[in-house]
Amino acid sequence: MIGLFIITLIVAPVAAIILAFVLDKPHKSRVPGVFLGSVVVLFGGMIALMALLGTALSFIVG
Amino acid sequence: MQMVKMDPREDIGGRLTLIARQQHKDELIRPLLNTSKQYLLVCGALALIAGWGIYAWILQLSQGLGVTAMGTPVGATWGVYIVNFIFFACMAHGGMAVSAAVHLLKAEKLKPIGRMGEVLTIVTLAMAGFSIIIDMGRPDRIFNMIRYWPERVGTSPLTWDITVIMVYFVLSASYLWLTMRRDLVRHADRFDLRGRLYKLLLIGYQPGEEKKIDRLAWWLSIAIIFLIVALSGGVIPWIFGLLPSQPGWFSSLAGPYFLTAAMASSIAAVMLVAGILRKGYRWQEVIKPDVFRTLGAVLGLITAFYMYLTFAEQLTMNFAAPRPEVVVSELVLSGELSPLYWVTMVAGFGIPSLVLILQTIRPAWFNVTRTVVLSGVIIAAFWAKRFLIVVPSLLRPLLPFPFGTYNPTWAEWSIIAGTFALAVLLYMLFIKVFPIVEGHEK
Repeated sequence: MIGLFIITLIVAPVAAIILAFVLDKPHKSRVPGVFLGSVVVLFGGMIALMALLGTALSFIVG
Repeated sequence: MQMVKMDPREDIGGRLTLIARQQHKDELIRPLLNTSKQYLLVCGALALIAGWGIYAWILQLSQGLGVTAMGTPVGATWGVYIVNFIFFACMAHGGMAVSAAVHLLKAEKLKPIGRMGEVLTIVTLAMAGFSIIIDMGRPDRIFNMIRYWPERVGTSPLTWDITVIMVYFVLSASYLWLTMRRDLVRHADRFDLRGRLYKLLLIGYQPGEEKKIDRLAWWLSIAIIFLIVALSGGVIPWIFGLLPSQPGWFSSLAGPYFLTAAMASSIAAVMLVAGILRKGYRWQEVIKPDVFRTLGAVLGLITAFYMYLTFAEQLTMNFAAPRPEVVVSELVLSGELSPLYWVTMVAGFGIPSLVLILQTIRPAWFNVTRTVVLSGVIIAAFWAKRFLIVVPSLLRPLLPFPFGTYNPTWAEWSIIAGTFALAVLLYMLFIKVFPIVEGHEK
């Protein structure tokens, strides 16, 4: 499974960097929460957009 | 006589400083304060071109990919849409790279163009994704990319591509939003409708959060630089470089080759945007010539290095390579695509990089306008070079099919023009809604 290895190789360091930021000083801040919230919303938004676009295009594609 | 000690904020000098500071603040948000007729005209023209492109796309959706010149088994199965995808995806990197350099290397002089680069990343990544959708024969099945992700991720470079692009887009958009909050706070009370939008985007705001956001920018800069290498030097070139069935693509050089092209084309794009906005909004004092001098030097060197990689690629394809490699190379060097190839190499890369390097060696020859124009030339040349990477290999297949030809139809050109118009239009709308230059005051 070379693909999973490659994706892990890319996503794992990014996740580690994000974790490092969350744990970085100053601790008393809402920024990490806001940031993680935006990541979740954007990912969800993109997936929802794909579903919506696919459905909308199914009415045009012959 | 007794001297009266005055509060420095109340003396004339102090007041002038405050006025100057306010003027500087207004200067940075000039696009938000004034809308010229020229701006509206350009937006109208771009909307018309984008609309025409959408019409052509709807035609393609209803009649199928038969309206394009792409064909199989003879001809190019990937055409200008995939060229556009690579072009936009690779262009997305320089913007964030410039911004990351500001935070990681403390390159303060690049700060005024940092956000211009970040927005460029968002817009071009969106267009890259759109180009893929346009290329799909059944775009209504787009959600299958998510549905079958677990099954495909093991073997499909395209699935790796989608994954990394999504991660990159999400991180870039979050980065842009959070680093912009400082400016949104500053201007939220100055505008009515936009102010309401700013307040909405300031969700969870706490006074003093700037220190944590600076740390976020620093950490995310590392993550983004890592993703730039992974995307432009990894998964995008691997769509081509891992395919032994396509002569001209199968190469371990593909990663560095694409990464170099991505860095050059995206730095050129940042310079072009910065040059146009500098001229349009009279930001000569905000974006100093030194910005163009520095980036121009980097662009000249990277473009020259790209030419060296191209030479290395062609030498390998011609020296003692299997016959199919030579056939693809002949198509480009001396066949029907040779005029495009030589114009691109000489006028698009050679002369501009030489001039950029010469003006770095001889600072007296430096000129901002010329540097910006050369950036535009290099961008166009990189689009053409992507065409010369994608198409020739498909026209000279390894399998025993006759040689094909590919001349994009009006529908393809219309859609391509539409994506470019849409990209510029989105950028222009952004600068009307949000501050495009980061405030300098802490």
